[in-house]
Amino acid sequence: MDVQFSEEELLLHESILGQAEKLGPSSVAGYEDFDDRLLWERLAAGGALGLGLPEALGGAGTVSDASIAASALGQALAPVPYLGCGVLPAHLLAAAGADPAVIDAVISGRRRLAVGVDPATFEPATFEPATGRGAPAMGPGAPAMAWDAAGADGALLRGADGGLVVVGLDGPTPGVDLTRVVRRCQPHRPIDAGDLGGPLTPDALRWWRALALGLVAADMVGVMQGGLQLAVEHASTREQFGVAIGSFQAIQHLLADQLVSVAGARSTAVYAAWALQRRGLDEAELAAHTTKAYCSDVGKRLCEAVVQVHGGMGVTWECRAHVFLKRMLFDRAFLGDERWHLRRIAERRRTEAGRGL
Amino acid sequence: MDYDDSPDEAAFRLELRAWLAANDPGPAPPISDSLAEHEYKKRWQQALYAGGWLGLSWPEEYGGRGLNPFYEAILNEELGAAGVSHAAPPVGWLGRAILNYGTEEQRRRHLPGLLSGETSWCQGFSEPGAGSDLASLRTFAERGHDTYTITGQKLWTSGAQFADWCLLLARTARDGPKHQGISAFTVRMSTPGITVRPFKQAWGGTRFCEVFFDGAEVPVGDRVGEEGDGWPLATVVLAYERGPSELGVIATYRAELRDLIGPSAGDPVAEDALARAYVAVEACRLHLLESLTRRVKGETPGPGSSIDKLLMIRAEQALGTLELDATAASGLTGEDWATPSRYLWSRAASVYGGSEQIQRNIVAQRILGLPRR
Repeated sequence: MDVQFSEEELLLHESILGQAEKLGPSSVAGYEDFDDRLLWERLAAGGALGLGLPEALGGAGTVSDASIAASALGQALAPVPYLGCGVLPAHLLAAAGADPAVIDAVISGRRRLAVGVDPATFEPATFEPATGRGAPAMGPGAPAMAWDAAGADGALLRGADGGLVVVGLDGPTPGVDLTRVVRRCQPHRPIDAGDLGGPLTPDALRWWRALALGLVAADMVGVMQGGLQLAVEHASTREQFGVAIGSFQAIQHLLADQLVSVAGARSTAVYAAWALQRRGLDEAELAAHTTKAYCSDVGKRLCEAVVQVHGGMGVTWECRAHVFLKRMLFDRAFLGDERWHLRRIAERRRTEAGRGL
Repeated sequence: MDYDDSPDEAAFRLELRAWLAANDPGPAPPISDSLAEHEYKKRWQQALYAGGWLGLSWPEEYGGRGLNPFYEAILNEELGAAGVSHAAPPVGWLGRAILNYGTEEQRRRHLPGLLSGETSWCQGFSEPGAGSDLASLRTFAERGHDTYTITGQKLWTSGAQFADWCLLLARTARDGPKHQGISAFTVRMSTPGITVRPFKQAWGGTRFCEVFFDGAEVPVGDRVGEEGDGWPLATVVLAYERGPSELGVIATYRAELRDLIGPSAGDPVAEDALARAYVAVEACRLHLLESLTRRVKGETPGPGSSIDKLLMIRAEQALGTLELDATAASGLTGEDWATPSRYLWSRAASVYGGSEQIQRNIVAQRILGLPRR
């Protein structure tokens, strides 16, 4: 047993955080028309989009490394579709046995493909005719949505044979998150994207979803870390009654509780990422549900505390506090909030107990 | 990053499992019967010691096995998984104080008995006027020619009525900064001038005691460390008390979580609350493994152990409430006293070993670096 980041892992975090802070927007207004291409190219050039993939496919590192990168980008509030158009489609294509050239186009940053997610199961959606008018925006019966799909020219769905196909996407509309977008898939508009491999097995789909959950949780850990840091800096400098507000116990205890939440959240996310490559599918999936449920629950409350500590400024364009909260809201809904995952955990554990495990 | 056992750790775990299967101590008595609880734990400690499972990370010359602390974590995990009480937790942290601060003679005199369960110990730290503000303690040790004369009162002294020895904090300087005038002593509980008064707790037992010192004489040679070393010693003891030693408790939580699956099945509200508690326990368990790794690598426990403790409180109290809710009515009618006892004990989790509020102060000021007033 040795549950600690290595030197290399710490350096990876520092390097990606540094790039994202240097090349990201310097103010809240800067998010509104941000051009993400330079940061995207740097991430691709550094190999970040292929983390956890086999070297034969142009990948490097581990899923844990991908999780570290996701955390660093969350912490910096980086407006790049690292998960949605980078690691997640790359791993899905690899699972289907797609042409290495297609995978290379994704991990080299040349082509942004998103993944259309089924709003009920949070697995890659199946290719079906458009659901028609009156369909709900989210939840069962809603059309497939591609999360974190900025700049993508198509989204991966599952075709009739269970293999991947690519379809078009609606244009991005501004959502609550200033750093990433959700786009509706256009299932009636298939796009030729080359050889995308064969049918995905049920286990491959489960593994991919566990991967996606683990990496979204890692992003949330970063958002929590960055948000808490902002709140601590503010509380240390903002003065009322002649002293820094961070000297008041009401503020200290609120923020101490948030640090405890980040610590617990990080531990669950780090384990979930490790388990994806080192433990069996059942265990990895349970760890993924666990971290997504935990981060969604404590993460939202942490970001609310960050806004609270900033007072009125926290809800204005002068301050990044609400940008953390909004990214957290996106992540919380991305692939299911804590209510959905707690239900899965309860079902899983009931079934296992019934089998005497 | 590796959560798996090394080959040696895995072999140890298997050997331990086999031993536990053959040496089941039987069900623990209810926490409302403190004498039975004490005797049960003592017997179990002696059995574990005889089996070679205690003092795993202690140096061999004092009866230990000289292994790294991961082995203690494995021991605690397996004890919890087997549904048996974890092994006399104070042994670890009191022993740590004597190991770190005691003389060679003191280590040889006290550690083997502490480990084997031949002697029982209590921890005389808190006082009526010094709970969260421990450094304000007023029990005084007056230096004579070759003895100290102890006068004062201790409170919350767990198991004092059964103890042979007490690790005592007392003031040895009347003036100067309050953190610097404190010294530590090992005190024989049969010393004339010591009176123990157990008091009854909300859950029925008498785990805690008051201890009165009325001119009890303690040999100078029973001081642990130099005069004035008491505060750093106490800090070490409390940090060990808070940290990964909780891993044994975690294993117990996991067993309790499994036991609650049946009673909550089919009730979505209860099932979701149970899943939430499961997630809280996982966060705590996984975080403790990180703290344990730091300890194995030689880091002395510091303010980070307050994070461990706060995560533990969240998990413990979520579980206590779940168990209460599952059987609320039978507790009120008196048909089931064990469950409300379990719940009431969980409320003590945010007080013992330094209250939740003190832990938050430590996290806010010593980790987040927020300004003190």
